[in-house]
Amino acid sequence: MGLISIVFMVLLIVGAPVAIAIGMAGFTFFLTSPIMPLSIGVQKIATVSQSFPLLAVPFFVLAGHLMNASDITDRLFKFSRIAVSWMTGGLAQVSIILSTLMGGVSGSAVADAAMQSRVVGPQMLQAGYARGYTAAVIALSSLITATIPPSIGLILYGYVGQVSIGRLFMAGIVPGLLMMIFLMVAAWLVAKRRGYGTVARERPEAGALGRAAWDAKWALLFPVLLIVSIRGGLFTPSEVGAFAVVYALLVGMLGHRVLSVERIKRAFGHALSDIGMIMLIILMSGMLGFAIIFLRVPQDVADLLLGGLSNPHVIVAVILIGLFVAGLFVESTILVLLLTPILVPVVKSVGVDPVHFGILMMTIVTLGGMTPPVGVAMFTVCSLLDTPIEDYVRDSLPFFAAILALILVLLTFPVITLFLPNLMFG
Amino acid sequence: AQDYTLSVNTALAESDPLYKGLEAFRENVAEATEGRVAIVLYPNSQLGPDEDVLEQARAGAPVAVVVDGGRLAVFQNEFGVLGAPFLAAGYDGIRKVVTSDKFEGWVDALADNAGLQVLSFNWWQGERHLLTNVPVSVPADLAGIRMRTPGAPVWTGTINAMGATPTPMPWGEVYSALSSNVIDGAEAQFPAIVGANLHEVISHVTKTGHINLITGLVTSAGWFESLPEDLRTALRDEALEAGDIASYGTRDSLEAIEAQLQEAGVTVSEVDTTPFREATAAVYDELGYGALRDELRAMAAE
Amino acid sequence: MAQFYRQAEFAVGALILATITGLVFLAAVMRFFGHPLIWSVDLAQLLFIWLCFIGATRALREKSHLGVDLAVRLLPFAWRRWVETALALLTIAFLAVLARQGLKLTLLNIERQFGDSGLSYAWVTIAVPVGCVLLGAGIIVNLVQSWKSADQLVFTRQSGNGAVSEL
Ligand code: NA
Ligand code: NA
Repeated sequence: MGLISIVFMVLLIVGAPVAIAIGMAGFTFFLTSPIMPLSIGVQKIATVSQSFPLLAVPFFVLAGHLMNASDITDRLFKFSRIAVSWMTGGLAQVSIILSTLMGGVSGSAVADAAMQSRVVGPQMLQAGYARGYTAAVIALSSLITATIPPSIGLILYGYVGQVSIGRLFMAGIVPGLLMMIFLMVAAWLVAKRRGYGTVARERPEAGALGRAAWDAKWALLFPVLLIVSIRGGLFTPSEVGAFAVVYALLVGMLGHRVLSVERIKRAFGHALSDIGMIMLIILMSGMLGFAIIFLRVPQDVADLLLGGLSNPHVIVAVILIGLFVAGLFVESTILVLLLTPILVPVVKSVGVDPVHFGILMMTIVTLGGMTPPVGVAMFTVCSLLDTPIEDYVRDSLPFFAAILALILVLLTFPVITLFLPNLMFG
Repeated sequence: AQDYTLSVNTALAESDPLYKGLEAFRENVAEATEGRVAIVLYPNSQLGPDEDVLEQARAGAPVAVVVDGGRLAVFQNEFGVLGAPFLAAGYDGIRKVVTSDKFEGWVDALADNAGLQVLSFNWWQGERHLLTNVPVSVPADLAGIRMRTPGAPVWTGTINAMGATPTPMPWGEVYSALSSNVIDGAEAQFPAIVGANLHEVISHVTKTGHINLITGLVTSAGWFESLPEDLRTALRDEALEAGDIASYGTRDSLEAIEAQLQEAGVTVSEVDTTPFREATAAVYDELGYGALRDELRAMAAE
Repeated sequence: MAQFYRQAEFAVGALILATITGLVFLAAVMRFFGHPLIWSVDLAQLLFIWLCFIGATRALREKSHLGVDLAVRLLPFAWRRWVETALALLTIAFLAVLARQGLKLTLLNIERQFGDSGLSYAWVTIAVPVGCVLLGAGIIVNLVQSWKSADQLVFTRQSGNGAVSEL
């Protein structure tokens, strides 16, 4: 594992594309393994593409481009400008609320971040928000999707860790809403200091708001339709992105009558490049993920951490810190699959409710996708918005602080998480 | 010190009763070979989907995987019949089939033709039952029910013949699909029902036992051939014995799981399986297993 | 020639993307009305990996693959071009090994079925070697263009705005 890490870091430092650095580092395992044939490296790349939930990535990327081309975004933006521009950092607030609404739809932080980079990002830049701040708001607010149901990560956690998924879903609602509030406060504080979204300080008059709402009706209906179509049993959360594409096409052609063949072709072109860029990283990480499991790295880490500790609070704290560190480097789905079966028995034995732990764990490992050195959500947002990573990192610090504060609150008061599931299931 | 390491992958979680058998296999192999062969277990499909691990084995890697006959049918067609409806009742019935001389002939053919070595095929996961939100007593009750099943022809054929509409979908999606009525039902064995928490989203389990889920431990024939004779014998003997431990463990857990389901408010009902059995009889002929059906059923019923 | 290739790549990529979306949408709608399509989502899943590699090649030409060039961006252009050239050659070697191994794996496992559709899984596996060849060819084109020009790199778009160059 030492050699693999060195290969990865060296390639990254000399400026190799992230996908190539991850791919070569993972391939090092197969080159040096006395028993695992080289060809299995290829198998692990291919296998990643066979994950059904991952199909949501191309759908939402394409839907985002089509919504731009269909004027859906513009009209939504005009409406939200009238509705919330009186608030400090109004567009950032829109992004955060939209993520909360979409959390129940896209189920994946990366897909949400990709879509909002297309839908909200350009509008924020146009309105004078700094690139780093824009990228940070969009990336960090996509974390809300990790806890609001139906989150694919929570389904995975419940399945692997034998924890009630119904309870996990109920448990995620209040932390998700709290995260929205915490992030809105952080966005407000920074925006106030920097003077973002403070131009039109007057509250909107009802007539203008109504007209803007009517103009944006197809856009405003969109999240509602997505949620209704899932709750009504038409789509699974993994499929609903396909509906988003069809809906954007229909609205653009029949509703707004702006979607020409030329615009559609342009949207597909942008989507193809974005999908290729995001997915090559994810495909290449298949080899690295396999190496980590085969070398039993998680078990070694667990033995190391828990060997000398006996105080339950210390153990849980160490686990959460360990998860955060692992999340810096490893994709969240892989971590959930890998560590849930190891960690759930440990936290149960020290008296922590696995439902409570699941919400904390999902929040932390998904947060890892928003941090350097490896963060798929971060890479996605920064490249789609053409943002230097150091700008992103600097401007995301207040939002990290907000998330950290929330994690401490949730850790200290389990009742916040467990109140709803206990109410529902007794 | 160990001379050989075999990495064993399974889709099951560590809490599944079958996993106890794998742990016994690990301990017993270490003992029987005096530590020369080490078994490392990878639950939750950590090394990849079953087909990936079979591919690794065919490429010569020392890996093994717990798979059902359907996964092997593409290499050796006869294995597919193990998933056919109402082939044998309970573990004792199906065990006779998978320890017979006839079955051993298929095992040899699989090793020669596909480079895959069966260590033992007596890892019983239970009988598969119907999971619905309406009571079911005859095939007609299944009309219009979208029922999740694995997409293999033998499974979709069986569910179709029983009267429901077979709806393939990844197992991991089933919980949310049931809770939002994307599908109306599923079919699974007892340990899998509670393993995926499906009792939260269905109200009725009808004990049809339409498919008797027997799985086997399969490894690389190339690697297996490279072992000294005594280790080969030890691995196969211990695999058979551990399979019994796993299967009896599964059988002993069924009652507790049924109680757990009822406690969760699920109605678990017995049913006269005769009409289901008659409805699915044609599935064998459609898949070319007609000749095997009577021979294997007679063997299982002995 | 290059123009024709770009158009063909776009046409195939866009067609696959539209097909995948259509298949998943159709599968859901048909299932809702009680007529599930058994092959529909399977086929979408099979096409997905082809979409990924075609898109990745397009992104490579547009130099939009992401890298962290905090250290190397301080180098003068001539040095950077040498660093990227070395990286390009290493990457081509890596892709060549992957392509060879991918072909071997495909041939070894021609029997493996894709899901339960009756199609061979080789249609998935072969996408890796084909994709590696496409990516490798794309890198060679970028490499040649870089050395012909006075200011272009192989992976990195010269945007001048710093740390995330889009490679
Ligand atoms: Na957002
Ligand atoms: Na990270």
